[in-house]
Amino acid sequence: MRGQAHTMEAILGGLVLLGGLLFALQVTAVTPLSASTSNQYIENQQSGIARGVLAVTSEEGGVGVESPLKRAVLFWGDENSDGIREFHCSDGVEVYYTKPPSASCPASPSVAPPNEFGVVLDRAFGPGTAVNVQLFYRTPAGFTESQWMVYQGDPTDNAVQVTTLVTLHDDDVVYDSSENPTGMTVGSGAADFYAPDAFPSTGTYNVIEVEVTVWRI
Amino acid sequence: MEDLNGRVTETRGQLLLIAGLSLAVVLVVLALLLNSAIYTQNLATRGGDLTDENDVSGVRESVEHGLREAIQHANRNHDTYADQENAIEDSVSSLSDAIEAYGADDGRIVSVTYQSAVDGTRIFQSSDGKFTDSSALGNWDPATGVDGVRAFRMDVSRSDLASLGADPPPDTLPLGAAFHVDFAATDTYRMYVYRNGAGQTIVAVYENSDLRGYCRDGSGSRTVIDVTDGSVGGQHCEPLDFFESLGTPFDVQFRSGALAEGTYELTVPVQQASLGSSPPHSEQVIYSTTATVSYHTPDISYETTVTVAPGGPSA
Repeated sequence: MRGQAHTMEAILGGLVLLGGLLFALQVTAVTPLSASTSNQYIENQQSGIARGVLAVTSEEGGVGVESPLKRAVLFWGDENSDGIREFHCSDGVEVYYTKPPSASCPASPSVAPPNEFGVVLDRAFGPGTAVNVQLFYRTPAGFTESQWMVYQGDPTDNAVQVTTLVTLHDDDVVYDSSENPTGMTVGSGAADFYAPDAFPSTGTYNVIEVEVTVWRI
Repeated sequence: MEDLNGRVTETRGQLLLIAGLSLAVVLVVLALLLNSAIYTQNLATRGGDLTDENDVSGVRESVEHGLREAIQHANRNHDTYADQENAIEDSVSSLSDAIEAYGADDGRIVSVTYQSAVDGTRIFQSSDGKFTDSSALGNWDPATGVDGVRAFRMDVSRSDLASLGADPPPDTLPLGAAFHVDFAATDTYRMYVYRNGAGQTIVAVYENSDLRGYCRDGSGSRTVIDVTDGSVGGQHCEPLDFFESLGTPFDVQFRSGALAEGTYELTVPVQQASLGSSPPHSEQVIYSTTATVSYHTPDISYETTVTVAPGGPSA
């Protein structure tokens, strides 16, 4: 009877020891390289892709054809004639995109923003990824202010940010919802553009910093 | 308590149990310690050198785009070299102001300084016509003794091209058979443009009278040939990528210009006399601009000169 009790206790002790060991191993298995949504490799990869998206969309399309990124920055007008200027087919009051445009807005690619830049962005970052696009601009007084283009929420700690610059001149025009140039120049004030003329004495209108933030959800 | 030999003992298996438990606790504590060390390391490796280097190249790219826009804007809006240079200088200083402010937000000091500009001439024919000079001569030289050419594009009407039927192009083409552009330095690169039997545009490039390669375009009724960008009808055309091996200075010569019709433009880095009142025309433009970019963070100090010639051959 004694012997059995000892054996049982020993086995129990062994099990506890083994359990502790297993638990400890399981816990240490979280290294910087183990698979998770906060993997360093994923961050590097996402920042590489975002950089690629900005580089590709910064290239001009040929003679007199502005780059897709610049067209997206100038994708500004009063779509629903409510007197409020916004990015074409964005959520009206909010001015910027929180989701792809609704069916009531006849923008052909149903992505946010509904233009070539949006298509490239959508192809690069599919479901499972959230993207914010924020535009920073200078004011004549020398401050930096910002305008959202795409807002999908607050990024996590593991988000990556990539930026590039777009220079606007006084004679650049805003684009309509089909991405065709309108006659309205940003310098004339008729376009009611979100960024002011930060350099009134020169031909440069403003220099926009496009910041793309990407994270896994 | 008695063991099998009748000896009384107070020790029981509990000791094993206690030992097991305490060992488990020690292991868990060890795991926690290890983990926090790894996490710290993880935090420390974020935003490392890799990001900085990418950032430098990103800033450089942004400056190149800015300069390209500045040159185009200045050429569009001003007619004399002095005004154009002033406009570019203004644009660069605005760009520098903005880039400095944005950089300061991210903990880096970036500035752009205008250095110089190269005066050039744009030769163009903006409405459809034969590729002849203003006195209707088919053999003429739009530019001689130049060190480069940029934004050399032509838009030709296919039905007005010489129809040779030769596809693929033969090893030698008779000189007067079709319109061609010669880039003449120590080596001569000759670009023929003609129509094949199927009614497609053929762009054939010869290097010192040896066929280097050719490209075909059959879309629409016109063909856009971007000579410096190396594309025919929007498609990359590898035989046109010869500018790197072309020595300088070289001449740009139009031959048999009556056998092609359409529009064209090219910009060369020399000041040239005005071409006269009938097409083709010429105007003063800035060929290229050089600026210095400096970039400083606590980790990296980087300074470079950037030269931009919009539409120049990709080198």
